[in-house]
This record gives sequence, C-alpha cells and structure tokens, in this order.
Amino acid sequence: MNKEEILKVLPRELQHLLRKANLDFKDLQEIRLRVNMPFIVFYKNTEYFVGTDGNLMIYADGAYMISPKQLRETVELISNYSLYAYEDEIRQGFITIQGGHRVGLSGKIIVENGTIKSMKYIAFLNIRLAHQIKGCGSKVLPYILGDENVYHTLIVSPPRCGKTTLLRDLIRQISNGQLLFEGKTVGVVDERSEIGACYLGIPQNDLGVRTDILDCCPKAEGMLMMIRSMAPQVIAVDEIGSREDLNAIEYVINCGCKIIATVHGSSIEDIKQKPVLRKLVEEKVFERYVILSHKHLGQAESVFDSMGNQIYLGELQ
Amino acid sequence: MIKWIGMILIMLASSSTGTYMGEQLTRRFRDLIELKRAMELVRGEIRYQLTPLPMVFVDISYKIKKPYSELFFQIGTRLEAHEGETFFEIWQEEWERQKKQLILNIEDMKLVSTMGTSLGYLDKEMQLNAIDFFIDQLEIQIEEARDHIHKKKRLYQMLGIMGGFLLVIILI
Repeated sequence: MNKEEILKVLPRELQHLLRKANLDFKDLQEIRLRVNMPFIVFYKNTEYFVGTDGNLMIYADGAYMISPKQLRETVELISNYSLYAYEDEIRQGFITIQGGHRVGLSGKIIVENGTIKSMKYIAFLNIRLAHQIKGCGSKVLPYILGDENVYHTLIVSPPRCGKTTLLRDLIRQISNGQLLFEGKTVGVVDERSEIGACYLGIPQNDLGVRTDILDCCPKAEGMLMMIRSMAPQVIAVDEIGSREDLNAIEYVINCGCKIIATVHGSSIEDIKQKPVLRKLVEEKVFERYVILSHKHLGQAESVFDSMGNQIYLGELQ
Repeated sequence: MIKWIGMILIMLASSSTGTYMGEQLTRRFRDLIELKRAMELVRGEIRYQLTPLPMVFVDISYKIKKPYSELFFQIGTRLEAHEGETFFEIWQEEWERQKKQLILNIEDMKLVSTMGTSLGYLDKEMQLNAIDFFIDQLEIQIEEARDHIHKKKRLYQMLGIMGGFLLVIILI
C-alpha cells in the first residue's frame, strides 16, 4: 500500500505528525478526525491517541487536538478540492479516494422533501484504509469450489473482521482461475465502492481478469443489470440484507448464476434471527457458509454446508 | 541642429508615454474580458460535467490566452500534486506570481482574492452561485474599464503631446 496516498489527503501538520509517529501503514486500519477532539488512529487492532509530537498513546491526555480549520482542509483534500463532484457519494456518507481507501463523513444533514440532499458542516471523518490481502481466501477456496462452478456462498462476519477483504480475494481467485479450476466471469455489484474501490471508474484493487464491476450501483437493481448486460457466471455482492436484495438473489439463482455474498453476523444461528435472511437459510439456498471471527483478519474460522455441517475448521491460534 | 533633435526626442517621448498610458486602459479591459471568459469555462465544467477542479484548471489552461493559460495550468498542476495546501493558498500564490503580467488594479485583485476563498469546498449549487457572483462583479469592472477607455484614452494621448509641447516651449 502506498503511504503517500493516505498522507496526501491530510493537512500538513497532520501529515507531519503521522510521519513522526513512524507507523507501518500496513497495520494502520483507521484514522479518525473529529472537530475539537483528539487525533485517533486504529493501529494493529488497537486504538491510539496521537500525541503532539507524534507519539502513540493509550490515554487522551496530551493528545493532539483537531481544529475546525484542519478538518475543513482535510475535506477539501479528500474531495480533490471539488466537493461538488462528490455529491452523490456524500449523500451516501463516504468518498472513495485514490488507492481505494474509503473516507466516512458525518455532519449536519440537509433534508429536502424527506430525502437527504447533502451534508453540511462535515465535522467527523473516518479514513478507513483498504487492505488487500492477496491469498487470504486460498484456504477456503477449495471448499466453495464445485465440479463445474462455485457454490452459492454466504460469508458471515462481524464488522471489521475482513469480510470484504476475503470476498475481494475470492473474487480475484475465481476470476483468474487456477490449475484445476477454470476462471469464471464474475460480475461485481459494488454498491459502496468497497470491493473494487473504483477511483474515477478504475478499480484500485485487483479483482482478477474476468471481472466486471458496477460501481456505486444499488445491489438489487445492479444484480439484474449485470445478468442482462454482462452475462456473468458468478455474481458477487457485499452486505445483503434488504427485501429487494432477497428478490434479486432469487432471480440470480434462477438464471443459473452462482452468488457469493457477505452479511453481518457471527454465526448461522445469528443470521437465522434476521427476518429476510432466515428465508434464504431455511430454503437452503446457500450451499456454503463461511464464518469469520476477530482472530484472523480476512481468514475463515469455519465453513458449513447447506445442512449446517461443519466441513472446515481453521487453525486457531 | 542639436536643438531640433532634442525637441523631436522630447516630443516623441512624451507623446509615446501618453499613448502607453492609454494603451494600459485597453489592456486592463482585455485582461478582464479574458478572465471572465475563463471563469465562464470553469462554471460550465462544474455545471455540466462536475469535473474536479484540478482537471478543470489544467483543461481550461489550453483554451485561454496568456498569461492566464500559465496561471491556470500552474494552479491545476499544484492542485493535482496534493501537497497538503488549501485551494486558497495555491490560488493566492499563483496569482501573486503572475500579477506582473496582468494589468489589473487593486479592486480587481480583491475580487480575485475573494473568489479564491469560495472555491474548492462548496457543493455544486453554492459553488456555481459563488462563480456567478464573481462573474457579475467582473462585469461591473469591465463596464468601468470600457468607460475609462472612452473617457481617458484620448485624454492621455493629448496630455502626452501637449506636455511635450509645453516642455519644448519652456526649454526654448
């Protein structure tokens, strides 16, 4: 990952602090900026306050405070000096920057006729660093590959366990193919621009040679569009959950496409509690469930088949 | 003989000073018109294409005359470089650098500076409003410049010639 990509969206003083802190950007997960609040980074799974001379601290005393001016400058830099060009993204609450990193925004929302029009006074930023861990799906891959095509797979994971990272690597490997497995045409519907992380339309992450991406497209509509236009063999989506998603997934399956999706949750029982997903689980639509946990970022803890039998147990440390 | 040559030189010098001062009025007028045109291009890019500012400035630099072409190109490249500066800092510094090439008065420069404070961080509607406002203000300046040309250009030229005469007469 390119360190400069991150640094160049920060104002000079903050750049300077982070350089002094001498972080390994591979282990940096989040940078959080809040107006008049301490400068926080999430590094190696731990939250740290950044001190005035760039040291990392557990306690907030003596932490560097973010001024309103610095926050405004950061917004200016993140939006490439052109906030107007990102209105749609701002409505969704995030901007994807070069390198595929996502910046979450929060502030005052302007509502017009009941819908969100734009955001004013952006006061909270969360720069989430995109981590591409190539090969993190290698262990799971054999379990989701069938004779002809992949199985319908659901990746279940709590937040920040790397489900998107795993999905991304699976897409790449399925798309590229392997010695005994022919590469498949994969259609990715990337509603939140997280999987491919397109910047100006070009994916910043490697998703393989046979992958088409619909960027920033609503999932349900996107899945249908993909089938109509790009003839994919596998459809991949992130974070399913709404009723429209469910209908679209049924349509995808009826078309003979395979689906790989992710969902927030901690176990199969957990997702059975969710009204929409329960139907899919009970009808045994998914043939494989991949469960992730906090222990290994982007690595599967276990894999279940449609009947709920465990067929893989990852090495636990 | 030498006296005659001296007289002619004085006449030439003073009348060309007059002409030069008149010419400055026309140049300011042209500079303002070109700036207005450039900002209209910027407005179009934002309104119809939502192009990000760094690209807007670089693209437009090829469509406008010197020294604005140089100015816009520099602003665009520096925005692209992302060195942690704000838009306003870059805008001010680059204008400062090109100022000598332009015949704009203090009031014109104040307008330019105000424009710099309102580019780069606003949503589309507000951004366009800010540019519209700047262009309206520029139009007022352009009108004033046009007026000055009518009223003062001949005056400066005449003053130059008359001043020359006066000097010659006194010296004789």
